[in-house]
Amino acid sequence: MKYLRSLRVSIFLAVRSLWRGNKGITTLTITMLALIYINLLFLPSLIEGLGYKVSQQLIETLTSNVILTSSSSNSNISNVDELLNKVQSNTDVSGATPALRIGTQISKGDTSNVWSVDAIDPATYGDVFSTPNNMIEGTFLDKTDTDSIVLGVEIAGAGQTGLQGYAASLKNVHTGDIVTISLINGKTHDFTVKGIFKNDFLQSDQRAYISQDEASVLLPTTVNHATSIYVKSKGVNSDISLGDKLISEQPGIKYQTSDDLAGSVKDQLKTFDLINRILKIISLIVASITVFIVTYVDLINKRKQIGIERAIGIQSKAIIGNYLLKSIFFAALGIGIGILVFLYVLVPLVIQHPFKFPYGYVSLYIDQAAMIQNAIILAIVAFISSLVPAVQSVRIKILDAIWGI
Amino acid sequence: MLYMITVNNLTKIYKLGKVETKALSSVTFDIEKGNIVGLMGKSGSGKTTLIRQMSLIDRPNDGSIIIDNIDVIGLSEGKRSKLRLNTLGYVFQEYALIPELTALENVYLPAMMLGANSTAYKQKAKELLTTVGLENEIFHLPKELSGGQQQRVAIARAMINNPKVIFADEPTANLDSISAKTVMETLQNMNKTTGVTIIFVSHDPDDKKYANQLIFLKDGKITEEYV
Repeated sequence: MKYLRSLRVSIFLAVRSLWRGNKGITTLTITMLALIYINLLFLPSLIEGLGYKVSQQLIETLTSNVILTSSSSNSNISNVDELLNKVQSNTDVSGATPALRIGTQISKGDTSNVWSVDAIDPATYGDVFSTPNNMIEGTFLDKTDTDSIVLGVEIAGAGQTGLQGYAASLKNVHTGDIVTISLINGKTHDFTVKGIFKNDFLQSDQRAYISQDEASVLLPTTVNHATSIYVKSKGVNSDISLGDKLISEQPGIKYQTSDDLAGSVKDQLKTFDLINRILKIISLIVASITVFIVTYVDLINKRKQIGIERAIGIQSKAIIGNYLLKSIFFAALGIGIGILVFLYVLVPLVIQHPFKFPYGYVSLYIDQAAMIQNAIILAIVAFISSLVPAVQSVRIKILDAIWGI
Repeated sequence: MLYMITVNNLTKIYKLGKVETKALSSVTFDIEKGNIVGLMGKSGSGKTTLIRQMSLIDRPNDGSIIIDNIDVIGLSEGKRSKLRLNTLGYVFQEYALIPELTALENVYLPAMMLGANSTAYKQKAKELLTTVGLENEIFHLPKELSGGQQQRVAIARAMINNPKVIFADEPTANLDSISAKTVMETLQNMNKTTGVTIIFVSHDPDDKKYANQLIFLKDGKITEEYV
């Protein structure tokens, strides 16, 4: 009952103070909390977006979800057609395509370097990878192509001096130029560049592809062989469970997931996650200090009023409750406005004008759980930041509060 | 004799760094129920210090204060707060109203804290504001009231919980003579109509006429006459 009375007085004082108090300070406090909340969301969302983009690029241009390889080292998968049919018949599989490593060195005139050259099936490659959609010159391979090759922009260079690997590239190769490939059988062969693709992902842009039919002519012993079979999942089950399912009853075949092959990309994702956590902690510290300062200044200004309230018999609990209720109101409104601004202003704006990173264009990745978590954390921070000075203000002597002695 | 307040050997020492100032020195007196008491004296005589000890806003260094048969010196802050709410009323020297509350809300706030029925305390607050001549200003905020009107709201607020004693610390110090007269007459009327004991502080010898008991102070000690 006692607590209910105090709560009633707290609500009464808080509502009147919000309704009739200084609107400028109220607006400023709510705006500040909204900005703090947006700050808590923005950078982590950008970093999440970056991580998401990197994972997406990895899967869509380099590794797919599950990669099937021979379980014995230095050997290829044989009977590819049979295995491919089995894989494609799996209900969790969206697409599958084979690739055979046929060369490692590409040269143009005096310039050469070591890159991966794979023979692929142009008919199914697009079912798994997005590379055919990312051509910046020419077109992707057709099944009937002979002596044709498509190059990643990091191999061709294509005159784009701003590329990450431009110095190591062929510098200025374009569609129609001839390049020479050193094949795995030790011979060389000339190919006409049919197209150049740009995935905005260094690792996949350092690849070159010829058609499977062309490879079967150049390297007849590799017919119906593949170094890897790339499998795109429908996303119903985890990549691991899909991999387990695909290799069951397939002796001599092992699988890896995109996560297993992420390599340095995985390290980058871990670094992003670490940066994200550090930024979140810093943002929360800044948020709590700011809320504390605003509440503290407000309480200092109302010290005399608090003294008078205590002198006329208003319980300390009611006075503290008044400030806590106001802080909850400020936090709720600030968070609400922050969510609206973030979802309906910032996210659409960034979608229209995404940030350019080495991995491509990155938008904000919205994680609902993180939004809720940040909202709860900010509300708690606001609550504690007003509780501490409020408790301090009712602990000082009434005389000191009213007359400042 | 029924005493509302008994003060015995009250001593208050203020410390400013290493310097000690004795603001009250073994002050002893009694106040009967229903009296209007004037604490008179020049500036620095100790009258404000005395009223602050009696109204439980400050604690003395020595001596005892008994209010309505309760020895208040040893009470915890929580119990002192309850006593201030239930038994005492306070009118400050400055216009000590809560700026975000209307005159009516300022008056009924202590009753709300007491847990009274809301219809009843709102009605009583209106009646008190009518008694102090502010029936047309009940919905005005403090900034919309003159100094004298604010002090009358403070008197109404002090009366809302049917206190046994009202302490008024120089309630007319910041007012013009007409407003000062109205405020003092309002206190006098409250005393007559409700029998509440009123203790006011004043340095103006003319205010003697409002009191039926006078306590004169000089240098923290009780004297026979205003000096």
